[in-house]
Amino acid sequence: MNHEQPLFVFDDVALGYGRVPVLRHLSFHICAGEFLGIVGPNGAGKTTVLRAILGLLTPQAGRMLSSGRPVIGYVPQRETIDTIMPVTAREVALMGRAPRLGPFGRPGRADFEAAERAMAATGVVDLAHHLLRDLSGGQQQRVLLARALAAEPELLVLDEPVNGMDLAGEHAIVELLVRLNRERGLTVILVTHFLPMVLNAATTVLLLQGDRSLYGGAEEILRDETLSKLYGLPVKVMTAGNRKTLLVGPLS
Amino acid sequence: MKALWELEFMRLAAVAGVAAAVALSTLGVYVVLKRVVFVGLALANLATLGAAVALAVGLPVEATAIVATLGGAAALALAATPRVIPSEAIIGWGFAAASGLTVLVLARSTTADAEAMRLLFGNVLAISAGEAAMMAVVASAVLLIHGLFARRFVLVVFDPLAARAAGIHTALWTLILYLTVGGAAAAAVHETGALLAFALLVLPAMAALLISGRLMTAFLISAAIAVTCVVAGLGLSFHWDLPTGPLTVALLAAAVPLAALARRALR
Repeated sequence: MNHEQPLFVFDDVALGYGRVPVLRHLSFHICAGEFLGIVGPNGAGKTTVLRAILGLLTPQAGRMLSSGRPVIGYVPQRETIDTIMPVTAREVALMGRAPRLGPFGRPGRADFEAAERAMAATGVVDLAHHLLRDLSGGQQQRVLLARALAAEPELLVLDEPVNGMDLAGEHAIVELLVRLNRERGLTVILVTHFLPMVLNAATTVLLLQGDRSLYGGAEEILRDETLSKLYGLPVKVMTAGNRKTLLVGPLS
Repeated sequence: MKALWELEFMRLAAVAGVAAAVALSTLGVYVVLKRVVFVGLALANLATLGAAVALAVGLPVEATAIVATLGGAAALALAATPRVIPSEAIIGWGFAAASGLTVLVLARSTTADAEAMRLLFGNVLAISAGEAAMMAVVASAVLLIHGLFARRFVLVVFDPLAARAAGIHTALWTLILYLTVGGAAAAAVHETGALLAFALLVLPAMAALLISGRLMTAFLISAAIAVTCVVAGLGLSFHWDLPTGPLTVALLAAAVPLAALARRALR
């Protein structure tokens, strides 16, 4: 994969629902091998950008270009999944093969093997025969990640993947995403409120704030003054060991 | 029991009843999981509205009922859901509108005689060989479509957003799902009545999902419960001289708490 070749280019794009724009003058691009973090306060339009990237939303204005249609592995917000359906973790992982299956959607041996590899990568092989609804939130999230990886995607798109997870689960997801990006060269787009995750994993950041957006390198965008202004309270980026974190609130 | 099946009308009723049972109970698993159980009731009432209009103005009854149901199914599948009310409310609107209009059309019709009542509300013991064959053909078509494309339907019902992101045309597959529900419901309403058609769509699926821990097994159990209740309903109504449809509905309804008890016993 050519790492200089943009997978998507947003050129002065306006996005919204019906006739109501949520975002205007949005310009950024995503290159192969990049780890893009999309951040911003509630209602800033993070999921709206994601929906445009997934092809679920057409721009109201501007140009959105893509190099072909890359195979996308998508991890939705866990809360959007209705777990009432009695499907096992393995069956869910296998659903990830949908973009690569024929018109009848019947999987073959290669598809089962890809699903097994994806479950192994996310550590859910032991849960393969458990119903999704019987798993904890963190386990469900790892199964959904396995489904996205089973597609053998060129682009992995995640919407709030660590919401409601405990520290260990959160750490495991971050480590896995970084490994997939750095070692396998998988392009990752991550929408999250969890800024330390973006600070430590993302190479580029799209910061959404009302009608404005900032795009650039993670260190360039996620600075004390930018974040303090965005969230309306003192925020300081700190380094502990080889990790970055945030201190929020008045510093005495 | 042998004498029962020597009667032609009982054999025809069994063919139509079993065909309706298998088709509706299989589709019912999706309908229950999608939390749109009233879609069956709304579509069944659209079929009766179509039949009522056909009787009133002299159109072919079956064809008009099917067109009305398929049109309603397409509208329900394609209608954008407003953010302030759930889709179930729109389905409820369709049910109420169709029910009210059916009564109004019949009130103004001069041809709403006993035959009209049978056409509108069904009587499984009074159907012809052609009608039984039509039900069997509709059921076979529905099962063929859902057998071939089961994985597509499962993905679209389970996670429509991820399905769309995977390049699957979810609106088309939802439309096909609703059209098959509508087609099966329209055919069944004509043969068995709206109440039994609705019961066959919802109750076996509920019982099956209570018992089964696997989706594919749930489809099979749902069909088995529906067929058992239909055959038992025919036999018992014959022996006890009770109305077939309501007795079959009662058996289907009883299957749900029995399944809940079985689930508790199995855990």
